[in-house]
Amino acid sequence: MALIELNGIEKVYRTKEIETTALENINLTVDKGEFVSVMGPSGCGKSTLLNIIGLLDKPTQGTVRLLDTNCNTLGDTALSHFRNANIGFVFQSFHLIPSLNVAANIELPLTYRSGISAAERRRRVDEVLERLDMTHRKKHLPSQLSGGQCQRVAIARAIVGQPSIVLADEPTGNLDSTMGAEVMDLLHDLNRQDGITIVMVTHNEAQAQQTDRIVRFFDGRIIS
Amino acid sequence: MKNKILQIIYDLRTQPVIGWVTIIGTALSIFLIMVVVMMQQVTVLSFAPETHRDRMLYGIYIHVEGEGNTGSAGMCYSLAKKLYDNLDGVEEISYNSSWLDAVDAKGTTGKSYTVQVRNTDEGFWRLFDFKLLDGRYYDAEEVAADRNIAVISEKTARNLFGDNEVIGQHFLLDHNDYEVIGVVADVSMFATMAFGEVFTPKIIKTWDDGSLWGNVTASMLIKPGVDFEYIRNQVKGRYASLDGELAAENRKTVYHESPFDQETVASGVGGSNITPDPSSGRRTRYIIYAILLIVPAINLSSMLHSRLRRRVNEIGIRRAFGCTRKRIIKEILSESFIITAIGGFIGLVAAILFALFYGGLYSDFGTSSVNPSLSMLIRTQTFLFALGACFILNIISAAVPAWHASRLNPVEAINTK
Repeated sequence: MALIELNGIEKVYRTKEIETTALENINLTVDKGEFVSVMGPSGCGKSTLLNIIGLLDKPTQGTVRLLDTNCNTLGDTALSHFRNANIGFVFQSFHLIPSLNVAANIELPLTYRSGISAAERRRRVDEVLERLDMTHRKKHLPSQLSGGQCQRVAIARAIVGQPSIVLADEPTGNLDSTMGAEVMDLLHDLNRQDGITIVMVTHNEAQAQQTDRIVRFFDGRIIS
Repeated sequence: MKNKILQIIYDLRTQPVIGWVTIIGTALSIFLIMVVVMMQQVTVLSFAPETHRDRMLYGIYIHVEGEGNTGSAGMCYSLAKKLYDNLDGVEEISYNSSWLDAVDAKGTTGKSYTVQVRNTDEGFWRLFDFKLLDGRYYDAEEVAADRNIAVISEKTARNLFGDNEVIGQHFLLDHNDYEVIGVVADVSMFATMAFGEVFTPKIIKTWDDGSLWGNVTASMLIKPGVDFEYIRNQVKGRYASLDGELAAENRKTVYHESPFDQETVASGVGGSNITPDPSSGRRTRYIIYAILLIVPAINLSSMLHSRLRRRVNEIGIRRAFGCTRKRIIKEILSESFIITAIGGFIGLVAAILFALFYGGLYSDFGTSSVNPSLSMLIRTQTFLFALGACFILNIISAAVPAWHASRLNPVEAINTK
């Protein structure tokens, strides 16, 4: 069953002087439970693709269907709700909120979801913290954590809302190899055990090889 | 809420100058507003001895036009009675001098003091809630007899007689001998219609020379639920009767919506020959409030812009995880409100302290001997007004930055360093 369907996606950035095509005629289908890596040189449109799948950006042309919903028709508020319910993000630079401690950072997506009590939010956060072996860091601020720990917290934040899709943009890019391997293990666990569909942008061929499928990009087009 | 407070603490740590300038700026703004508000409140809200200001009406002036003895000024005693005695719906009435006489007084201590003297009838003591510390008040017979007796304030008693027994003592008031029959607790100068340091029963003879003119105010407590217009209509009828008497002299009265309520009296009435318009005072106050709110709000807005510039990435992250634009606005406004409320609280406390120690500066009597008390300044209305001012200040200063933040492109925001 296709969870992500991109048809004829084009993304063109226009300024007064110049028009840059970031994505050109992208057709991509990702099935439920798949772990797909997206590879390609810098500036080839990988992150733009991830932003479009993540409904953070709109294509200039083409349709985005996620979980059988035509997302082109959704307004800004509906898109926010859709992201909150179905998509988790993991970024290369972690992007934890520096003023919030680990637990509050992880709790963030749940605070934007209606119908979840504070007690339930805390329970889910504790559950994820335990799963990621980060309970002892619960009260720490991001500045008190190592890069690997920050990325674990970022992954915890991405999955605490039990999304169907996790989008990871170079999740090991800022980590050393040991930490990177740990993060990859974690993503594989989430994919296998929870059936979460993962689309990961990476420059690391070895890590890409561990995934179900590699989509290769060049100059805004899928080449394989 | 907890996270918002953590965010504010974090902001104060990471951007201390902007954070503290915001709080101090807010405090200063609220301080200025609350000084104006409290000084206005003490002129209209009830406090002892003027405990029923919301039910008080005052007949102060008479305006007569025509040939001969015309003009506008205070009333004589008999005219005040003619216009205001036995009105239906009046619970209590007193005739007392409108303006105080500042005269010299000398007691057993031998030192002369300038005291503020108010001439009153016996109803004055029923109308206003004075606290009698010693002795008694004068009665109707003593008022009619025009006796040289006085009720004096505690401070005056101390000045004139030191620590000695006061009741029955004699003192010189404007070179005339008076006997002290009662001592009352000092009252604030902000109780403009009841304030005095020496009260004498010399209202009738002092202010009744056969003309229309004098210095007598008819102070009335209106029964609960009675419409002030009902009272005014009766007074208007009395004016018409007076016109009948004055017609022979080719004179007539000009009615100026008398008697006046507390707000009108507090706004200064404006003059004996014009119809007072308290709404113009209200408008002026609102303009002052608006200026005091808008000017700092513009500065605070730019401060908030600066603070939010550092949080663009965070706003992008929040948007990615499902925060709607509306929620971004709400979160920024509520965070900003907490800061405004902290500043507002500091400003309010500063304003109360200022009013407590320097309140005399605002008094009609030009001295600082009796400043407003805490109970006069700390009212539910004071807090509600301060809260409202904070809320408006917050909306004016934070709305635009919050709206801008909510319109940020999430992708660009996330990628902002």
